[in-house]
Amino acid sequence: MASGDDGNTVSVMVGGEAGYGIMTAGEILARSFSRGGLHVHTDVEYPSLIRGGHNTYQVVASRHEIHGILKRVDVLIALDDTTIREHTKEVGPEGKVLFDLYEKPIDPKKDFPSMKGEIVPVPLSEIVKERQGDKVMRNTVAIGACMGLIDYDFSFMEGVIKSAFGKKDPEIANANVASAKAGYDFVIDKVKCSVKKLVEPDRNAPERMLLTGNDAIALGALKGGLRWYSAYPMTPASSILHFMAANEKNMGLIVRQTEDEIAAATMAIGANHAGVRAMAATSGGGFCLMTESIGLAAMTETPMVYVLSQRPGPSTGLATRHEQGDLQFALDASQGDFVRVVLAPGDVDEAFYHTFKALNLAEKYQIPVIIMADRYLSESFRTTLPFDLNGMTIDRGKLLSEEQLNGMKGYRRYEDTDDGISPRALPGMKNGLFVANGDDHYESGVTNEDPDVRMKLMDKRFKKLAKLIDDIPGPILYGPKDADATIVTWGSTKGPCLDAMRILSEKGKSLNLLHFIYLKPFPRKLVQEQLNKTKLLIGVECNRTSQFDRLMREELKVGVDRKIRKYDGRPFFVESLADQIQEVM
Amino acid sequence: MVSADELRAPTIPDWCPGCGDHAILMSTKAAISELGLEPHNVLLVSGIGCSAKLPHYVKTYGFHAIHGRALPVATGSKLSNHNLNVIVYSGDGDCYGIGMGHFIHAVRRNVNITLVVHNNQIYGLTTGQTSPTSDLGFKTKTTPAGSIERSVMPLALALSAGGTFVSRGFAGDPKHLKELLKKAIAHKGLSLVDVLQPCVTFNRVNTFAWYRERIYKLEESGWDPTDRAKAFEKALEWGDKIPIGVIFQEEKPPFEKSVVALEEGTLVSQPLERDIGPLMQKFI
Repeated sequence: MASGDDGNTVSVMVGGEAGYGIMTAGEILARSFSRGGLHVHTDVEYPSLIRGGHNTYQVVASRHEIHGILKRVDVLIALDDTTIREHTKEVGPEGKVLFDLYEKPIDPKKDFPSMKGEIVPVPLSEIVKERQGDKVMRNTVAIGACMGLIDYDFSFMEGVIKSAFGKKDPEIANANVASAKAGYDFVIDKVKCSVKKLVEPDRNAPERMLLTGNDAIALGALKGGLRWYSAYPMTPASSILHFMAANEKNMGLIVRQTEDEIAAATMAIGANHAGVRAMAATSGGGFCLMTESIGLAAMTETPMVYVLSQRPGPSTGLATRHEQGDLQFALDASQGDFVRVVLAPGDVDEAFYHTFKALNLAEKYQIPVIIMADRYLSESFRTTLPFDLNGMTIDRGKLLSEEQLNGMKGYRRYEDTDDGISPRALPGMKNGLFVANGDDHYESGVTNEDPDVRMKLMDKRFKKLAKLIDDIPGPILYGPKDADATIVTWGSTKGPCLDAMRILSEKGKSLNLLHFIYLKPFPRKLVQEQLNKTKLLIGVECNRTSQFDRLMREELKVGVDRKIRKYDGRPFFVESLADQIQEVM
Repeated sequence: MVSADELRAPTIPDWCPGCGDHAILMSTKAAISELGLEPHNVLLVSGIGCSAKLPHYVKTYGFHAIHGRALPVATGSKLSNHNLNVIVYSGDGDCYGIGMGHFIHAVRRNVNITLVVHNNQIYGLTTGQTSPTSDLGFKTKTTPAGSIERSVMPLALALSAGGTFVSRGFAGDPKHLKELLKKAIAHKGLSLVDVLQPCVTFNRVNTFAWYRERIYKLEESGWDPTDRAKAFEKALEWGDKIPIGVIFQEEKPPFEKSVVALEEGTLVSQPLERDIGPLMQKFI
């Protein structure tokens, strides 16, 4: 049995060409497990094209909480033979490969000699033809058959399909349920010997949401009072734009797909300037275009929130794959010195709460805030409890009301205050006239060339740091306080690290994990104490040059003792990461 | 009503003496005053260049942004508070060079913003380089043998992008310019006012006298500004004769009329708290 398997976890992968309905099939599978009370984590892999290619959707479901994706595949749903060829290694002797034998006759032993798992032929095309359905519905028959193959209560899938299609058209919903059921029945009736119960639904589990990191970022922003969202389509940030556009009407939002990322960012700055909470999201290439605007937000002290969902670079790199290679870029992007916040949520919960917090920090300190996501966080679905909204308060900082302004004499937009944060008027308010200025300026906003004033205003803007650092949470420690080794990680790599740590702890290894969400300003004081106790630091991150380790060395004068890096465009798999950690301990 | 004089900000303009920008500033203050706009409801947005300094000289709200990006900044502000009168001050480099992408899209979007382009056919603040509107053969520091690129035709571009108010003014005729600005500000939609604005320091060719010899007023020639095809022809007229005035105008609902969120009032007046419960439910 592969490491990490406790008999209560199932890993299913659907594979085929783009256009085969892989994403829909995977999502229905994921929701069927989630509705059955299981913890779910998914991963998608696809090339940058519209039709063809090789696409997979992996769903891991378990009775216990999971944070990462497994290398192991228990059921491989192969809608084409490439899927079998590409994923032979992941399927063990206990594994099953669900294949449409009637589509293209194969001799498993001859055609796939190294496949250890059992190939289970299911006449997907034939079943679709009998039902006079569209060929694309093979995907639905296949996931139904998968439910049969692992003996999972079909009623959950039925419910998911009905709620997915029911609103659009009950007839389509019924046709899909019937197709899935036909696949299920075929396996139960005709391939009984192969059926093996891999995971039981947990009927007492609380209701959970199943959502992606991008969904969570969007929800966090909406909870945080977002009224403006502008973006230019770019994987893996695009689904935020789709979500926002779909909810533009019911949430009272303005959503703009702009001519480029420069417009997306600068329009959002214009909106923030007028007093509306606004955000722009992109990936690395688009973030390059937005870079000049970050400095504009900083110099004009306009609140601004950016989402940078990373993919592998340089340049177009691997357009639809995963990496955490933009950290050093985000930390100092844009010319000149200024205060900013850079944060990287590690999972959907952190994505929700810290996006909400990002909007508050941006407005309270009148600074740019950069939320770093990545393909794995942005596009993987994960189960979690509905977010607890208690105590989430919108903080508009020193935003003035018209009454307050009327009581003031000689209002200066960039007044040099004790904490460096100046009271903020909005266009349209009487008595608050000022020019927001990207040139350095006097406290009034008027352009300045005087060296002393330059120093004074630069220092004024940096004064914000003293208060800001107390608003920044430190890293989160998982596992025992004292351990033989400490894994240090940031962003979404937390997930696979947590699961790898659990595997190793069960093997008797003494390990804990230090997960950083806030990266700038660096929570130096909060981390020092923990590091003093640490015997061996193991850095885990998805990039070539250990970018977080470089940040640690700059901030703390110490780096990690061992480096585990991955930059093949794929996230860490739990089992192989556990092996790598064990090797360096 | 606030008088033009009361709109004067304490900052003294640092443009060259005799620069056409002074006339644009004067006409702006007069137009705001005569239209009875309240200064706190006026937002002047600019990019980079001599034109971009203008917001500092008028007692209203302002946003002096970065090169080429005045239009998107203004779009964000206008749609967030559509009660504001938003006027953009840009230049031939700022708007037709680095900001050309935003220009075309702003015109086709038709947000109710006035766009004033200080067009002097040269880069002034960077001490005299060629511009997108420099004429063929124009000699500058970067084109010592004369420009070998054709100049852009901004009015024709605006017309092709569906512009609803396309006009040209001349800094040598501030009275005419003021009336043009008033019409442009009153127009519901994106109004382009391309202003021939001689750079007295770096452009020794396209001087006040050069323009004066060539310009004629469309209003005085019985021009009908409602035919886009004819306007296109007029927009290409450049050389011995250069038309000024409104070349084309049509009434079309501005962008903000199609934005559902604005049916409830300005975006900025809407509450920040909202119930995301039903949205979360969709993920279960």
